[in-house]
Amino acid sequence: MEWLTDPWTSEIMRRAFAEAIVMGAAAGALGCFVLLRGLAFLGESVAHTLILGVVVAFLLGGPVALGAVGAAAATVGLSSLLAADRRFSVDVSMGVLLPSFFGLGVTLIALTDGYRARLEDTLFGAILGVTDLDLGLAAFVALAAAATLLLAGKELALVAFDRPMARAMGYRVGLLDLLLFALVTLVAVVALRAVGNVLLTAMLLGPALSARLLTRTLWPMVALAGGLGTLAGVLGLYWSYSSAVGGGPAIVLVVAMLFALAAGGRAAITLVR
Amino acid sequence: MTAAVSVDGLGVAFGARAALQDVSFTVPAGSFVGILGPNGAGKTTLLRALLGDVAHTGRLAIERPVAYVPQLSDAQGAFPIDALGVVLMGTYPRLGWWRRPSGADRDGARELLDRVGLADRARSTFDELSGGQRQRVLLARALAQEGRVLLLDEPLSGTDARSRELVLDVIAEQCARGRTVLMTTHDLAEAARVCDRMLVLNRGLVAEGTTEEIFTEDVLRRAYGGDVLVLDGRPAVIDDPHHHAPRERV
Repeated sequence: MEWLTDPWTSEIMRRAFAEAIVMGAAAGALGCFVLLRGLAFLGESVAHTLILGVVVAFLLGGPVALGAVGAAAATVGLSSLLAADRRFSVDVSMGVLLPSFFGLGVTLIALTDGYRARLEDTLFGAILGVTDLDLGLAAFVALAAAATLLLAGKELALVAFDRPMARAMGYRVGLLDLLLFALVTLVAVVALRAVGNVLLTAMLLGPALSARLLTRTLWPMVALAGGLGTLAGVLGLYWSYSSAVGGGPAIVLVVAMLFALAAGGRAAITLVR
Repeated sequence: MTAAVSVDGLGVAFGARAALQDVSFTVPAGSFVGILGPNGAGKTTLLRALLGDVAHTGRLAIERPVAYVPQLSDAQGAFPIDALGVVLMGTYPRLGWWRRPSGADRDGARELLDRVGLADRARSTFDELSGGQRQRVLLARALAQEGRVLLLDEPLSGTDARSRELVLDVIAEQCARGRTVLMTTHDLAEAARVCDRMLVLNRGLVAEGTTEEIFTEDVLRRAYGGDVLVLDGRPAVIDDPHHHAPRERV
């Protein structure tokens, strides 16, 4: 049983587990809304625009998490400004912001001598290096996500299912959208630390996709996706601890394996019927 | 008799294209109104303007709450929700933000599913239901909203005979209770049989009034152009399924 308890003896690993569990649950649960609203591109875009904030934070000597939050806020703010024009959808405005922010970030990296060595952390995560601020942010985001789903979960579901009806019922659909985008962005900031820029979308969509295959209605799907995200975080860290695989890639690979299992199970059920 | 809907000089434009211009009419409470017109005439647009879902010019007054049954879209089929869950969405505005539907709300929703002939499908997911069944679930949701005015977009198209009769039964019952129903349809003969008032559109209002006033060759020719045939003194529109304009853009 040593393999089970050994990782928990190290302070670094305990922090990593805490980050992975909280991030996995929040990303899994919110990922369901990203999936059902067809916002996969939003997650991807936010992930790529964050790199600018990370680099700027590094240049200014501030905490990376704050830089990411700043870039995320700028992304959501600017894209909802653009999307207010009926000719642009959220996707389109993100499509404009993504290359601009990403390009600017990469340019800054090229001009900054000291940063290139840390680029890998931004791309693939550095879950073994989480700070108190990272953990605090992760806890805050998870609480905010839980509170939102508790207070406005059924309204978010209504908007996802039938937008015109939600509007006709008097709900401020635009505000609910903004709330969802803001939460997804915050989760992206947290996941950036854990699994990195490139792998972040997998964390957001993988557990949600697996849960969609195995459930019939929304709330069981959200609960299962949160659970699968957490499971992937924990299993991935165990794997990473006992091998040379990095934490971020290991977690994302477990997400992919869980999806393969879910898809296989689903196919088997269909065959048997 | 009080007016449930009154519209004066209503106009809706999508960009430079005018979808509806200068539409004025009133609907007495308790009426069942058929909204007719060729494809692209602005039928769905009128419903969405009444719903407050598209920007419009002119004056518009409608008794609230307004319930709406949209045209079927495939997108909704992918959403993980069962029939009972859809009906319960109709109770959300009454519940407020954090409250979940109660046991009584659930019983009520089950009764409404029974009313539209789907008592045994409460736990079926939306994508397991046929087109007609989905539409009836959405009708049950509209009933759960306890709307004073019901807006139904093509509730009779693409459905089987049993669905049609159930839907028409429910509409008649709602009208008898003083509620007002506006329904778009491209089925003229059916509308003439069941509606007590008609509203004929073609980017603007062509005619409006009781079914007897409207169902004349002259009015129909103005709305549908040359595709009107007179048989035994009753006008009919030649509905060529291979020559439909693209669906109305909304």
